[in-house]
Amino acid sequence: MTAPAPAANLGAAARWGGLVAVTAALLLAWQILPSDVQGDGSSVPKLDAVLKALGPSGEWGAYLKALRVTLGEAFFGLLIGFAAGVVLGVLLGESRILRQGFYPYALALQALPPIALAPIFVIWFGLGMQSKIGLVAAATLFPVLVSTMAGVAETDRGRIEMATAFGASKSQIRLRIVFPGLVVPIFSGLEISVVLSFLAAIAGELISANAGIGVILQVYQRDYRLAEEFAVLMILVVVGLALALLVRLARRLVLERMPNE
Amino acid sequence: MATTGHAVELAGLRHVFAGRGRGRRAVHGVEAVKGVDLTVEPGEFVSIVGPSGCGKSTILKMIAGLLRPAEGAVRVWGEPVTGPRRDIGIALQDATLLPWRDVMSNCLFPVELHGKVTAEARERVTGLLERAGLAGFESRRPKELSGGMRQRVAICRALADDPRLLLLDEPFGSLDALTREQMNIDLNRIWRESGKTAILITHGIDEAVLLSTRVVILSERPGTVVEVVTPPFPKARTKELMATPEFAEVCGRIRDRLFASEQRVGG
Repeated sequence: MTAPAPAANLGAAARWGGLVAVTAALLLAWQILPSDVQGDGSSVPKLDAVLKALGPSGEWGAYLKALRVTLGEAFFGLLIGFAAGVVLGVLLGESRILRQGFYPYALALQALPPIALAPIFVIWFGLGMQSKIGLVAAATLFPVLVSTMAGVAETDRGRIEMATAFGASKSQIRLRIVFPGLVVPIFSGLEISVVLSFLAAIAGELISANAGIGVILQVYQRDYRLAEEFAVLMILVVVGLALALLVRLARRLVLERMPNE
Repeated sequence: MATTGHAVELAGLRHVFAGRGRGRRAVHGVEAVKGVDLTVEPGEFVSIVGPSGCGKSTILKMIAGLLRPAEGAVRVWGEPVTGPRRDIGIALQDATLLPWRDVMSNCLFPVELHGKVTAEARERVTGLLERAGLAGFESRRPKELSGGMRQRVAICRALADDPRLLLLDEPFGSLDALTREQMNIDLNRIWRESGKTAILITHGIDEAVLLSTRVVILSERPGTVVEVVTPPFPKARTKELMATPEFAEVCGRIRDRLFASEQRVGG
């Protein structure tokens, strides 16, 4: 009758064992397999070269400075895109007229690759962080908007009927049934948008910027510093994973701590 | 509040679900119930049984103020029903608990809608949960409960704001037979101890006979009252009662009546 006890600890070794083994094998293969296919040192740098680029003699200062810029752009852009997405999603979800009028535009704009906006945003907002923040906001708006809107429109009929039968007013239904039910759809939109925010920031920087991950990737490319290039990619993987985990953690915390109202 | 003494009065009740479209592709309206007359006295437990689609739930929704009848009158405690009332508690086939609230807070939901949650209301819910065998589960979330427990929470929620009338629309319909039987015994006890008036919609004949002071039999669509059976048992019902020949006899009578009405309409 009660909740099942989590049996997670039992499988910990089995869960992580495979991953550790595969990672070790991949790293080993990377180090010992011949990677210089073309014979001019341009294919893939050896693992030890990449580790050296990541180590104390590498360019940590440059990586961190660039990462700070990029993450800043991603964060502020996501903040704007997320807030606008939730607000517009609720409005379009609640009002059929607004939905019918604006949703086709939302779809049309979503079909536009955000990267294509980058040149215009640079002209409007300059080479600095602002243009990338705008780009990230544009890219992250739609997943949040669409999932919020769907969440409003697909509010469980049974719950609304139940609340109505107990005499709930329209605003009580909105506050106590519709809005709390949006947490899950908003987080699924956010999960997509977080990945997009990082992607859009770097893509914008690759097109034109004066600082950030996209810029140092281009600098290392120009200078043929492949080990540094790979080092930055590894940092991006770790940061990307950390962001995704952060959102999941936030979702769990919010769902667990949601106030009882 | 002036009351006529009746808990619920239905007079000449008729409801038609609107059709849609025009011309050749029109979907005609469906007459769900027709000429339903029924009076429920305070403290009674009345079950409404009938074949699928006979408008049982429609009747309940009209009493709850969720649907307006096309014709006829619905009065609760002597007052015409114009919308949902605060003194009615309702539990539907799905428990429809709010997943982000714990058990206590789910039960307090109607209290919250009607005003402030008082210490008295909390105490009442604590007592209800205890009687429903849910003591100690106050701060669990619905997903941590079994289907039967969720339905019991839904019934506690229906009773939380101390309604005078309890409306139940097949609240145990989705449970397995064994759990359902246990729920019925529990519900009988809760009803007796609370002294409420209750109306239950069900297609389980055993369930109706086990719980009710009166069983109302509806015909096929459009549903109308074909007979009212009064099970001759004391208020306190037990599992043992279900094994008696008297119990089987009452159930058999209702079953025959249901089949007769189906054949008459169908043939």
